[in-house]
Order: sequence, then C-alpha cells, then structure tokens
Amino acid sequence: MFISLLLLGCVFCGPQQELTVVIRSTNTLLDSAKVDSVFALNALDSIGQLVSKNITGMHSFPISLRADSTTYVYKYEGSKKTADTLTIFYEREFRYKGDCGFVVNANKPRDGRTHRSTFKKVEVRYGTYITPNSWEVGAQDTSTGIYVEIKE
Amino acid sequence: MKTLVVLVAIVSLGFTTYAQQDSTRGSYLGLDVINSVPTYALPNWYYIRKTIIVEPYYHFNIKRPDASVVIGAGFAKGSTRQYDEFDPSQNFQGAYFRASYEFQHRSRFISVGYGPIISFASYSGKFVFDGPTFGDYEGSFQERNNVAIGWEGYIAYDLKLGRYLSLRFLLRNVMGRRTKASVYVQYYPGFGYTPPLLNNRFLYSGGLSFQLYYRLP
Repeated sequence: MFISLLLLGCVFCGPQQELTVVIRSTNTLLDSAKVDSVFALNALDSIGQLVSKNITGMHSFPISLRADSTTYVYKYEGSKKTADTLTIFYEREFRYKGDCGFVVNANKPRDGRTHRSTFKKVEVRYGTYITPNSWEVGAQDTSTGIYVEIKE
Repeated sequence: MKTLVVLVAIVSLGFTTYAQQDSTRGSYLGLDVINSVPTYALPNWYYIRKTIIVEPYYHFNIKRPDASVVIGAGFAKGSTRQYDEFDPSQNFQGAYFRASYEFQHRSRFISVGYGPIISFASYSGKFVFDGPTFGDYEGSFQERNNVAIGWEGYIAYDLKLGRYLSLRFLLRNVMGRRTKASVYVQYYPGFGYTPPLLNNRFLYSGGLSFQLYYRLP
C-alpha cells in the first residue's frame, strides 16, 4: 500500500546541496567585450574560476551556503575595462521537509537589497527552490530558484 | 466406587501440588538491560550505539484466573549510528511507561499481552549540506518534549531458572504516533527503530527482548 502511495504521489524534495543561480546576459557590451573568465569570491579553491571564455547567454553558477551573498567577478580581455563585479544577496533557509530530510532554500532578503554591481542594470528574481509535495498525478516540479539578468 | 474416589482424589492432589510447584502466579519484579549490550559490544554494526536502556517491570496477578497485569517503565539515552553523510548520527533520550494486560496460554509457559505505551523523548543532531565550491554547511537541530502514544502486543515465553528467578523471552510489536514530528528520528525510545514513512509521525517497530524476573516472596 505504501509503495502504491509513493508511486502515485509526487514528492519534490528540493535541493540538498549547494544551490545555483541562473545568470543571463542581455548586455551587448558584455557579449562583445570578450569576457575572459568569471570568478567567485570566497571559493574553497583559491582561484575560484567558474567559467572561462565565451560567456554569452545563460549560465548556472553556484551560490555559497555559508553566507547570504555571493560575489562574482567578470574579467575582460582586450578591453579598457578590466573587470565587473556582481554580488547577489539572498537569505538562506534550512528546514526539515517531511519524507525528504533537511532541504535548503534561498529567499529574497527582507531588507529588499537584491544585488550590488558595477553593471549598470541588473534584475534579480527570486523563485523557490522547494516545490510543495503534491498528491496529484502528473504534478510538476515548479522550483525555479534565483534568476539574474544582466541588462546593461 | 471407593477406588474411583481415591483415584480421583490422588489425581487431583497431584494436579494441585503440580500447580503449586509450577504456578507462575504471584508478583514479580523484572528488569530488561539486555537491549544495551549490543550497542556497546557492536557499536558499528547495530543501529544504535553506546545506549543505556533500563526497563524495570512489575508483574502481578489479577482476580481473573490465568490473567495478569504488567506495568513497566523505561529509560533510554544514547545515539544512533551514522547511516550516510546526509543522515548523520542523532542523540536521543527518553522515558516511557507501559501497561499491559496479559493472559496465559494453556501451556502455562506462553503468555500473550497487549496494552498502551506512552513515551517522552528529546533528541538532537546535525546535518550537512555539501558545498563543493564554497564549502559545506553544517547545521544542527534540537527537539524537546516529543510525545508518542502507541499500542503494543507481545508473545512471551517464561523459562523458570529456579525458585525465584525466571527468564522471559518476549517477541513484541509496537506501533504509535508522534504528536509532533518535525524531524525524522532514527530511534524512538520505547518504540525502537521506525521506518521513515508517513511524514515521520507513524512509529512502528518490532523486536526480541529478554527480561529477568524475580518472584516476590
């Protein structure tokens, strides 16, 4: 009986590991400026390089579970500007979810501060990382997490 | 006719003397400490480790023939084994009380009993989130005053060791419900290991137990 219940129901546990944010760039300057690499500050690996070359379109970067903010450094090659920084703010929430164990979520900060950046225009949207469980057949996992758009 | 009366008298005398010698009626004090042994002897193999479990019992007869009542208390303090990185060890302590109505099978050595159990427990533990880029996050949780109510049923076999001592082998099944179930517990005092089902509110456990009984004069 338990097995059939489990098969019918959809248990969305949510992340039990380091979270990621999706960063999309619609900034033409950034696209043409030949980004050499993106680094994360306070990474375990002292260099903290996340990606190198061809930084266009969408990327998924990890955020720190040990702080309520993560800073990325965009380094340029062959440009007047040497680097841009982007700090994303969030509020970590660790809680127990039945049938799953402990899960982690990152919410919009209560003080409303979403980011700090040398980019001119950045938009941050906060979606949940944890979808509530559903007993409906065919229920979808609607977790989106944090979405960042570098506009200018 | 006369011989028949004598024969019946002898046979019934034999029965009564047998019953007096072998009767399990009377009041007993019991103790179960065997549950602690594997937690110290095999801490890496058993599901709980370094756990003190003490369960005293008082067993007495009631008016109804072949029926008796057992009142028991219990105390458990220890920790669970680490199952994996995401299911680390938990510390627990709890006190519990149980009562059961018991009746003897015809064989007189086998008894069947059932009754309620209530358990008060508190526990604490840690959890770890892997952070390959920025480092792991380690959190902790603590719960106090958790209450569980359940129902227990068992079959017991009594082995007489002497005039006053007897050893009881007990096969038990217990199920119950926790009033507050925010975190799954790997071991619930008085219940034992419970499967992680139904949002952790449901407790179910079964097992074998040994109790030493002393017959009160």
